[in-house]
Amino acid sequence: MTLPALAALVFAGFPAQERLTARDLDLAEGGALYEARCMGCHGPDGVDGDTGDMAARGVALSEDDLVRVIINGVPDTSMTPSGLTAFEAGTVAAYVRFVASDRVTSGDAARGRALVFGDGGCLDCHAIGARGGLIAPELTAIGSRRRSGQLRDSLLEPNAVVRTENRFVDVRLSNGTGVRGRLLNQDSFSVQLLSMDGRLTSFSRSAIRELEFIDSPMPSYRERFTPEQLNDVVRFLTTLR
Amino acid sequence: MNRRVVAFARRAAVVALVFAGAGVARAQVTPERLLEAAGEPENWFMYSGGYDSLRHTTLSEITPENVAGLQLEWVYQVRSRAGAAEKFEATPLVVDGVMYTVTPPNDVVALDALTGRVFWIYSHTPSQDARVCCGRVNRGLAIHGNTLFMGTIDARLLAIDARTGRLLWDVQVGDPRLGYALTLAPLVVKDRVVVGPAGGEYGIRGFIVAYDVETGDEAWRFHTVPGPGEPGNETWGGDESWRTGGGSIWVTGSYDPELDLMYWGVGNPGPDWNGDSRPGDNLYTDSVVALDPDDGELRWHYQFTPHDEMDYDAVQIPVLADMNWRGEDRRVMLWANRNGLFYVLDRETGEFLHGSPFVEVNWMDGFDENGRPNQVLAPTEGGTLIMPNNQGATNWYSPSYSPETGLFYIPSWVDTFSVYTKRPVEYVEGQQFVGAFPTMAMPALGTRPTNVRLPEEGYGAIQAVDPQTGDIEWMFPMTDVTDSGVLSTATHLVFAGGREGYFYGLDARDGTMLWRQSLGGQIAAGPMSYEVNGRQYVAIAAGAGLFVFALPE
Repeated sequence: MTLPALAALVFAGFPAQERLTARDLDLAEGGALYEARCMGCHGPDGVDGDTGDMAARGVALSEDDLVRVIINGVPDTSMTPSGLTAFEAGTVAAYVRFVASDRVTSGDAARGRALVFGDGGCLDCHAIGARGGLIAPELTAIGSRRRSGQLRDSLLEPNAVVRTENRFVDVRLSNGTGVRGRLLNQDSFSVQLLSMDGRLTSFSRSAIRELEFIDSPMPSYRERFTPEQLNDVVRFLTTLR
Repeated sequence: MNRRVVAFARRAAVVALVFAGAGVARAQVTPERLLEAAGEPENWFMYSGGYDSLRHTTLSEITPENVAGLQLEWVYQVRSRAGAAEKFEATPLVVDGVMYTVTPPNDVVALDALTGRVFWIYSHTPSQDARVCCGRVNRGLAIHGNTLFMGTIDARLLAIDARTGRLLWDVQVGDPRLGYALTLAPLVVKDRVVVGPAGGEYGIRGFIVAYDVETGDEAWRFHTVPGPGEPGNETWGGDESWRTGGGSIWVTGSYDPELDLMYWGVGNPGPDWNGDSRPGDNLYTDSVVALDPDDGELRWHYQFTPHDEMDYDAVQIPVLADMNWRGEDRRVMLWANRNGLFYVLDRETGEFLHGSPFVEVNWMDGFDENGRPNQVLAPTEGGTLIMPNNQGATNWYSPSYSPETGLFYIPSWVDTFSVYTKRPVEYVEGQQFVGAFPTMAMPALGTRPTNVRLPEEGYGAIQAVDPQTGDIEWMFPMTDVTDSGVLSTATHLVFAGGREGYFYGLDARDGTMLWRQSLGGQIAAGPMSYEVNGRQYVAIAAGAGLFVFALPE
């Protein structure tokens, strides 16, 4: 893959942009509606075993036809009328087009699996089923929750989009010791975290000298994987449902 | 460009820094820690505190002299509205400063034991197929290694990682559409997790089942209602009455590691209030069974109430005490039964040593030399008044034994009665298979906002029984009845509560009330005690909250 193409890949994900445009906001709304109303049957990538490649079918339709299907559903199928307004359906349509354009379509899942369970080191931190680490988001059914483009983006720029429940902190205590871990909970008087070595730990704020939200400990795989390996890993992860 | 995969954890210096100290969390609950639970009184590793089920703490900070100074440290409230409407029956576990419990129906929560703040919650949504007689309740968890185990009211057994709240495995134990449910706290023995189903009101065929803690593979299953060819099946006359025989298991058993015997109390036969379709003693309903934990084989049994028609489940905690009993050193089992009788059994052989009433009892008038009760009253078509009432003289909630006082503490319903009327009953799959509900002066399960009952209609009490004689040494009465368990301490305290929502600290020697707190909701759980950073805490679920008390710092 050429460097410019790689750069385009990296920056295609709209959450990575610094300034939100109107299109970004539409995509965000469309994405939220899609996640809530469509993803269960159509999958995050618009591809599903039962419903096929909906995104490919969608982008082949005209804008009007796509919006119409989203509003009216498809007769004699389990896709019933959505009750969305024309504007809402328009944002979903835009999101479907975005999903189709941002998908990772190549890659070998078996090779990807070997990397994930092996040299990629993913299970040092992540769990798939009963295997793997505790500290990072669980990947057991990640393919049912994340677009392939998001998975690719997270592998390249792990810190660009970190979900709120996956934030990490460094806690420095008044007694000089420090603990790093994933933040679980906090309140006016205490902080709870899962330490890097897997212990549920609670601190009184009065014992904390400094609490700092830190970057995701996940390293970027841009230098660690070839583009083919990246696609392989993403392809494997999308099969985890 | 030539890019190669770099083996992750082995090369990046940043990664090495991040993973300094990576490895297995040190606080693993090994089988050894479970066996030696008495050596770690700061922790509470299982439902009854230890395999002998004394529900007794040797922590010594809180004493009769200072208990009046106990203060509320924190409260954890059941989060879901549906859950808050149910009885909160769980006893929490505490392991190395982390508390684990279940809020109804099936939400597992990990809390900081010092502050009550949440680490994580795992919510299981029970299937709509779940059928319960008596509330969508759960009595708590078991732990092994870093895995928590919970039974669900739609009859699943879940294994959950204690550090993250992630599901590791789950198995379907029985069919919820036929009335099978799990409400008990499981028991871990060696590398097996053991459970049994509730559903005695639904014509289930009960069992005790053991699963591998790592995989959830079934290791063995013991049917509490034996089938054709199994010993005891001959005690089920009629037309295949064993198929709907009941024999539920809904309270945690006990374990003697030296004898290597596991003990479980078995529930009532079905249909509850008409035994005509099931002539015979109906083994092993209303019995205690002693099983080999490795293969589930029955070593001995004792039946408290043969051919029961009063719903006198023997679903109580088997309390294992070593004592000099009437001049002889013995391994005994203390049992206050729903049927109104206090028993002492030899837990090695099942030999009946003693039986005597701890409340007024009229359905039997004595025992033969083998401990078989001589029954004199039973339900009739015209109705018969029987004591104790259908809910029993005690029930599933935990008694306690104190080796220091030598007394056995029984949460009791005193002076109760029911009129049992025999009606025809037919089995319909998924529906209650019981007969006509007997009369009772008080609600079986819930509370009413106000209590206007007459004293002679029954009341609650904590009774202290001398296991040597069966004599009641003292009684602490309450106006309303109690579904509370009892915790005793080595410092001569007894903690207990009742439906009125008072939580008491009593003198274990004479029942004097030394402390009480009004918690505003019924106490239908057992108290427990733990220690963090050198301070002792006492925890009890009441209403929709878990309340934790300690002496001021």
